[in-house]
Parts: sequence; structure tokens; C-alpha cells
Amino acid sequence: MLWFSIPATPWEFDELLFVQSLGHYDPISHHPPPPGYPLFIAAGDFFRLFAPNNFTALVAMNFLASAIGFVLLALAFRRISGDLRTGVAGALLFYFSPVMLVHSTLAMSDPGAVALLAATLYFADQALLFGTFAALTIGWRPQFAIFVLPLLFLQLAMTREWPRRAIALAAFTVVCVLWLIPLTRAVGGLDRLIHFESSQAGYLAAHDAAVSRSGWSTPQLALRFSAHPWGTKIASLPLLIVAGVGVVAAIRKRELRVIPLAIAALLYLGFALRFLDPADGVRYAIPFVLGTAFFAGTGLIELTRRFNLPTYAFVALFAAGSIVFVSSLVSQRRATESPPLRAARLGRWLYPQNAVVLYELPLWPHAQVFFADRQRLRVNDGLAKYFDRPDVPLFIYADGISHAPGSRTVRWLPSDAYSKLTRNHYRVVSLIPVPPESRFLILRGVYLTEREVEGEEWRWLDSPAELQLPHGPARMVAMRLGLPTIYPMAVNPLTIFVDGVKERTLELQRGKPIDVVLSVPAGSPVLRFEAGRAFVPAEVPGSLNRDPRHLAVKLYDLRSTL
Amino acid sequence: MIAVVIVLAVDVMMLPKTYWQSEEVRFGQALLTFDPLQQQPEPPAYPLYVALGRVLNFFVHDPFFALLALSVISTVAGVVITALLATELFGDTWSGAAAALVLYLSPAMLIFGPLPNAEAVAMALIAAALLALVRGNAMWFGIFAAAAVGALPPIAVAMLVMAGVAPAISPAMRRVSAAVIGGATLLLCFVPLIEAIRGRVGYYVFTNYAALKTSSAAAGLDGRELVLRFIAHPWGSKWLSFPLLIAAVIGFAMLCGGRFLNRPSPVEKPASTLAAFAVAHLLFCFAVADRGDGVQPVIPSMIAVAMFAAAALSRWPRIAFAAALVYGAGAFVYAWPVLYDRHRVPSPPAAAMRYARQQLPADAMLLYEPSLEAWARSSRFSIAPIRDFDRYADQKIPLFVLGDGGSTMQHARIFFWPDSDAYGKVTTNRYRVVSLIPFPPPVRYRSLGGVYGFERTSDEEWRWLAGDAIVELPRLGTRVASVRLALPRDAPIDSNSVNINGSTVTVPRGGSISFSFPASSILRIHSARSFTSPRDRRTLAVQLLSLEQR
Repeated sequence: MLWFSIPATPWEFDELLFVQSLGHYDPISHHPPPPGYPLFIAAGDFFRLFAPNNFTALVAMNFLASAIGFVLLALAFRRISGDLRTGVAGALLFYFSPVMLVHSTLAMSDPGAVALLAATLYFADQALLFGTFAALTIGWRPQFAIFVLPLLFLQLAMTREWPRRAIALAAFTVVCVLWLIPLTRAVGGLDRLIHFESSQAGYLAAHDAAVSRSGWSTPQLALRFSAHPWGTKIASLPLLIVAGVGVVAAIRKRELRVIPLAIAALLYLGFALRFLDPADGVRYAIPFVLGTAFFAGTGLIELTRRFNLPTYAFVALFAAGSIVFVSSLVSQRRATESPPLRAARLGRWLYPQNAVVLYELPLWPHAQVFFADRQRLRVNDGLAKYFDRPDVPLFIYADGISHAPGSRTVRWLPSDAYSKLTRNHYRVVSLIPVPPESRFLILRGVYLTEREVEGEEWRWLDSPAELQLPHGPARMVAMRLGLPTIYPMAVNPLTIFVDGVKERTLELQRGKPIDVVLSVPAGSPVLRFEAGRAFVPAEVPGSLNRDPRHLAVKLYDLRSTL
Repeated sequence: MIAVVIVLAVDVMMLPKTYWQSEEVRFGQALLTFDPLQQQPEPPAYPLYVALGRVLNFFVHDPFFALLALSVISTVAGVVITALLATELFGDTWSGAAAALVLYLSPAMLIFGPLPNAEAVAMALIAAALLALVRGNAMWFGIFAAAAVGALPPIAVAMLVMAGVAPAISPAMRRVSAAVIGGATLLLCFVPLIEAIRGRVGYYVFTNYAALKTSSAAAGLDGRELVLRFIAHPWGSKWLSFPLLIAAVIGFAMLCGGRFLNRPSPVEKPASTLAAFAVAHLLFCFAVADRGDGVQPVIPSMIAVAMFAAAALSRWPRIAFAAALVYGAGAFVYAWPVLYDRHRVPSPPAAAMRYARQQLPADAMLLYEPSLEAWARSSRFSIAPIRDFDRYADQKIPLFVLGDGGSTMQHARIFFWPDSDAYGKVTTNRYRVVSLIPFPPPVRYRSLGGVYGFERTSDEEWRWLAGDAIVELPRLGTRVASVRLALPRDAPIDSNSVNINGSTVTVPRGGSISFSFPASSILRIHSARSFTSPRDRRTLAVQLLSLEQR
């Protein structure tokens, strides 16, 4: 199963950052991304000795980690439940869950961390190994600390012998220090490590725990973290019910060994619901999924024993359902290059060597790797530098579709699994030429381009907003402006000034974009947009949007003609 | 074993080279994006078939190959289970093999079995349900019957009838257990479908039923033609089908008619259940199935005919087997033209799309005929249905029509397989000839009234004009326009006098006539006579074959 889900090429954001980290461990440059993953990268470097490239090294390592992880998890669940069938059923349910079918062979840190977590659970009765593997798990994927630390302390609290507690804590501390040293050195000292990690925590608070939750209600968040990892409703709902039966069965049997796992999983879920980015929710939920799998295995054994039904037939049915669910995503990922890579190949073929790649933020690591020998800049930085240089070809490397003339799009076909199990990025990637007539310099109040996967693209304008056109003769400027269908005001007047002279006033209506053509004088004129009102989405009463920007109107397109 | 080897060898040797019918393309697309509201797959969505295809595609990463593999695996399983079923009924493995051979070497199964579609899977599951029924295993009957419905939903009515009259599950508890487990299996199959159509079951059923009725009406089959199509044609030409159907009648009489001679057959109840299934499904097909789909809709009922035909000779099992081999050889020869071309060269739609990919400009607009929509959607071109032809009259983009049939237009590329009796009688009779027709600006026009849609045979295309028609030509600065008009041989009028902007010409029945006149932006075409089409009640006057500015 693992073999058939191996990806053909790098795909996700973090994969590219991890790939670049092998041999060049530089966490400050996001190689790898925070919080540093020292053991994962060290192990990747070791596998690189035997692999032809960094990506293959990480994928091979995770392939192996997932295979070993399955055995360790089955053993761990057996230790906790005291029943081998529960162990095997739980481990099968976990590794056949859609989230693991998709993520267990990616070049990410999760598969190895899961295997180490399984080892931690398995060796919980052996103090030295327990402490060691707990520390290794965190060193491999520091985010798992949210699960491992409660597990560690609960397990130690339930251990009655002080020497064993001491040994476990000592082992944990020593191993943690061992992996902290290279991480500390890599970031340039303890002070910088603290700054590095605290800045990541700050980002988490500002982004994952706030802005990224735009549009998510609490029930949706709960579904995202607890149900989506198990696939469609017809798979996840019965499985969660069976897990509930497992919880009841464990309580009735007074199985104390279950307590650390259960509480760690619940605490992790609580943390995820409060702080983690729901877009990444399915992958971030993996530790909770592991806890759920244990109880689902317990519940399944309980039910099938009671009604004299074949346990593994249900496991097989669930596995088949998961395969059906992820088949589209996994088969495309296995058989074809990822859209970012295909688009990059196309871009290298279509555009001359001196063309500058303007990448959108989600494609930053992809641009670094796939356009390594080209000049590459963020979109607005590139426009600022080259908007008045018609001799330099520019093109945007965009995450999503574009309907701009001359743009080229590559895509994987959509599926329910793609939208539920991934961040929903990189399925559609476009190359958009930026000819001189479409260029401008942002002076104020013009936000970054946003685009839907298969829909529209636009830039939000604040009020006032200003942009400057490149030098040229007197010409016409055609723009498409409007208000989206979901907008707090039905009408918003917009006045456009050219070089400070009032040129046009428009009544923009919600959901009805309009085309405007203005004549502008020779030179490098400045266009200024003043809307009647602007709004902050996060302050709209009753809205789930957390966007703190001031927004007025949408600019869909701008190009000048002689 | 011999039957399995023979059928497997024939299937594998004759596997299709490419997708052929639109439903196959839609099934392939559904493995990647299951979106029944966008006809991926086509209604009624075949949820279990798509699910099984997705399981295989997880391992092989090629939807076409995954679906072919599924069909081959299902065919092998189907042959074994059908043979076991017949063996169970007739008590002899030779008779069992004979029944399996008759079914799986019939032209219908030879042609539709190895395709990337649901038939082979459904036939295996139907046979498994019947076997479970004959063996009195209620649980497995429930599972397989529901699974067969999940793979091929149109058999639901027949399966319900069979479950209703099934004698083997008569004890109350077992009937309940079959119903419960069957219901659970159905839920597993259909809940993902309901989720995929966002719960709009009524809308989905109603819109697709309306489309089905339109398609059936267009096929124009009725009465005797329909009976022949659904009962005789699946078994080949009359030299093959009539002896086999006679044998089936005899077999049925032997199995089910014994009670009238006070010699009831020990397998009378299973046999009558089988007959009930077949009759129910045939009646369903007569009432609802798409009459343009060839013999494909009735394939599930063929298992009963094959069983009864084998029963006729079940007293001489080896002779039955030999007769089945002879029938199979004849059926293979009959189906050979279709099988050979399909295996050897890409299907005409596939060849047309390959040509389009290689030769057409990237900004071309492709207007597709309804039967080729799935093919057009799988291309990289901008696409629109051919009914939008008039919208592109004065646009500058390169315009091409993807036609299901031939064309006499200049520079049209025609892709075709040779005609054969089997193609006409067993298949949908679509996709044998496919045209890729360029429509440069001089041959474009816009109907302002009285011009019906494009129609096409394997040789030519036309648009019917009503008694009064108005056509707008794009402004190209030309001086002369020429038009070609025709009246078909079966028209109820012997000729028609047509006036175009003051110029009059007479179009004879069974012939065509071209004439030129000064170009003008508006053409007013008045025909002296018109008639009402008995099939669709349209008022028709004359056929417009082509119109060109020079």
C-alpha cells in the first residue's frame, strides 16, 4: 500500500523546504521551516548517503518509517489493550485512514514522528526507552511535544516507582539536550534559538490561531480536526461511533493504561482546535487520529465479539473505502509530476533565460528549487523593480487559475479527497505573462493578488489606493473594478484620479463588476482610487472572517493600450 | 476451466486499444473526479463500479487500464460463477461450462464485456447473487444482489422482483437478514453518490430521466424493431440467435413446464426465479432504457437465456458443451469486425481527438455534438455544444465541429471504422464515423429563425429548414453566396420550390442542387411546400447541406 502511494515528485510547501535542508541545515533561512526538526533532517542526511537525491532520500526514509511504524503501533496498542487483535485492528485503521494514505510517504516529518511516537507508546513500561523515544519524537517533529509531554507526565505520574520516573526523565532530558545542541548551533546560539522559536510562536498566534480561521465556525473546526482525516461521512461517522464504543468499553473495563493516551489525544485536540491552522488541519490532527484509531480498534473488537462478526472484514471494508476516497489524489500524484513542477518545466521552456519569475507566496519554495538558476522575486517586489523595464520579461508563477491572456495552466483533476485532506493548494498552477502594458508600481493600498483555485483573480484596493504606471506616451488604461457578491455594502462610490486630477466617479454595485477606460497623459502617471467606504472584514458583525485589512473595492484587471 | 481459458484468451486478445463510447470516457474521468452532476459518470452513476475502478486505479495509476483490468477480472470471475451456477442447477460441469460459454461468447458480451464499463462487473455480481440464492445463502444473496445494483443501478427493479419471488429465502428470519444486509450494502454504495450530488436526488433523477426520454425518442426504435433489438440482436445474426432462442425456450419448458406433465423439475423454483428476473429486466428496458444504446441495456437478462439454452441439452452435457463452442465460434466470427478494429486501431473519437491535439491551433473552439461531449471535455480546447454554432458566426477564432458521423464539408477530416452488421445491430451505432470539420468564416452563418440543428449520417450532414427561414451571413465583403439544398428520398413531397432573396430553384426528391446568388447579409429562404415530420412533429421543407460566401 505504501509503495503505491509514493509520490512521483515534490508537491507540498514543506516538502520543498525539507528537501533543501538536507546537507544545508539552516533553520534561520527556513531550511527546514521552524521549529527546526533537527533529528528529521539528521536522519534525512543519513539516508541521503544511499539515495540519488534529497527527495528520494526523504521519501525512502518515510516509507521505511511507516512500515516500521505500523508494527510498532500494533505492538503499542497491544500493550495498552492487552489484546493483539485490538492492536492490529487499531494500527490497520490508523495506517489505512485517508490522512495516512496521503501523508505516510510524503517528504514530511510526520511519518517518522508517528513511528517514534508508536515506539514511545510501546516502551512506556521501560523507563529508559520510554524517555528516550519521547525525546526523539519531539526532536523529530517538535510539534508533537503537545502530545508527547502530557503523555510523558501522565505516564510518569502513573508509575509508582521513583527510580523509574527518574530514569525516564533523565533519558528524556539527555536526548532532548543532544538534539537541541545542533539546533542551537545552527540558529546561532541560545538567545537566537529562543528568538527563533518565539517568533514562530508569534506567527502561530497571529496566523494559525487567528487569520487562518476566517470563515471557520467551531463545529466546522471540530469536523476538520476530528472527522475529515477519516474521509467521507459514510466512513468517518461510523468510525467515530465505533471509537465511542471503544471509549465506553475501556471505561467499563477500567483500563488504566489507556489514560495517558486518551488524555494526551484530547489535550492535543483541544490545542489544535484553539491554535492550529484548519487548512492544515487534517495533517495536524494525526496524533489525535492515532488516539482515535486505538479506541476504534477497541470498539470494533468489542462489537464484533458481541455480535459474532468478522473483525477484519470491517477493517478491510474501511480500508477499501479509504482507498476509494484517496485514489484520485494518490494515483495522480504517483503517476504525474506535481502541477508546480510541471508548470516550472513549462515556464523554463516558454520564457527566455532573462525572464524574471514573480512567484506567489505559496510557491516560494517551489520557485527556489525549480527556478534555482533564474532571478525570482515576490510578485510586488518584482513589479516594483521592473515595472518600468519593458526589456525584462516577467511572468507570475501562480497558485491557482488565471484567465489573463497568454496564461498557461497545469492541473491535477479535482477530487473530494484533495479538498478535504490537503491544504487545497498546488492542484492548479498557472504561468501568467506580465507584459509591459499590465505592469504598475504599487504606491499604497494595493494588496497582493488573490485567486481562486478554478475561479477569479483580483487585488483588493484600500481607500485611498495609489499605483503608478510605467513611462510611456499618452495612452488608454482599461480596468475592471467591482465589489464581490459577498460584501457588506450594496453600493460603494469610487472616484479615480489621474495625477491628482479627478477623472471619473463610478457607482460600484455588489456582484456587478464594470469595465472602465481612462485616457492618461504621457509620462508615468499615478492613478489614485478613493472609495466612499472601506471596511475591515474582521469587524463586520456576525462575520467569521478574521481578515484585519482595510478593503474597499476589487481590481480585477488593468492594462494600458496606445 | 476450459471455459475460463477460452473466454479469457478471447478477451485479452481483443482488448480495446482506446476508449470508444462516451460513457467509457466518463467512467475514466469519474475515477479521478466523481461528479455525477457533471455526468461523471453518466447517470445513474454506477457508484460501486466507480468505487471498484478507483481501488484498482490506486494501484495502476491509469484509469483506462484500471477499468480494463476490472472488466477482465470480472469476466473471469463471471465465467466461473456462471458455470458454478449452471452446474448447481443441471448437476454437470459440462453443462455449466456450456452456459458460461454461451453467455460470455455471445456477441453482446464479446463486444461489451471487455470494455471499460460496468457490464462485466454487474454480470459477475448477478451470477454470484443467483448462485447464493440457489445455494440458499441469504446473507450472500443480499450482499451480491445489492452490490449488483450498486454496480449497475438499472437492474434494481429486476433484482427486487427476483428477491420478491426467491424461494430459497422464504423462512422469515433469513429473508429479514438478506434484506438488512442488502440494505446496508445499498447504503454503502449509494450514500457517497447522494453526498456527491449534494442531496439533490429528485433533481438528479428528474433531469436525467428527461434526458433519457429525449435520447430514446431520437433513436426512433419501436415495436418489432425494438423486440428484435432487445431479444435477438444480443445473440448475433438470425442464424445464431434464432437457434439459440429456440433452445432457450425448450430449456425453459423443460425446467419450468414439467409440472404440467406431472413431472416437475427439481430446479423449477430457481429457474422460474431466473426467468422472473430476466422478464422483469426486459420489461424495464422496453419501458425505460435508452433505445439508442444498442443491446447494452438488456445484457443482464441474457444470463437467463444462456441458462435455459444450456438446459435444453443438459441431458447430453458434452453435446451441450460442443454446441456452445460452435455457437461461440459463430458469435466470434460475427463480432470479429468490431473486435478486430477496436483492438487494432484507436476508436474514431480517440483518433479525432489525437489529431485535434496535434493539428488544431491552441485557441481553436471545438463545437461538439451531444454524443461526443465527454470526448470534447477531455481536450484542452475551448468547447461548446454544437447548438451554439450560430453564436460564432462573426467571431474570428478558428472554429471546428466534432461530429458523430460523416461530413461532405471541404477539408473535413473523417475518422472511421469499417461498417459491419454487428456494429449496426449490437452497438449504439454511434462513434463509427467521427468528423473534425473546420468552419472558416466564409461557411459560417447565424440562424435568425426556421433553421433546425445539425443532423448527420455516416456520409453527410444537413440542417432542416422550415417553410420560412432567415439566415444572417457575417460581413466578409464577398459578392456571391452559394447554397446546396436537398430533399431526401423518404420525403413525402416529390419536389420543393425554394426562393432565396428572389432567386428560385426547384429541389427534387432524392437529389441535391447547388446554386449561387448575390451575397447579402440577410437571406430569406421561402419554400413553397412543407410537411410535418411524423417522428418529432417538426415542420420541414428542405435540407440545407452547405452555405458559403465566395
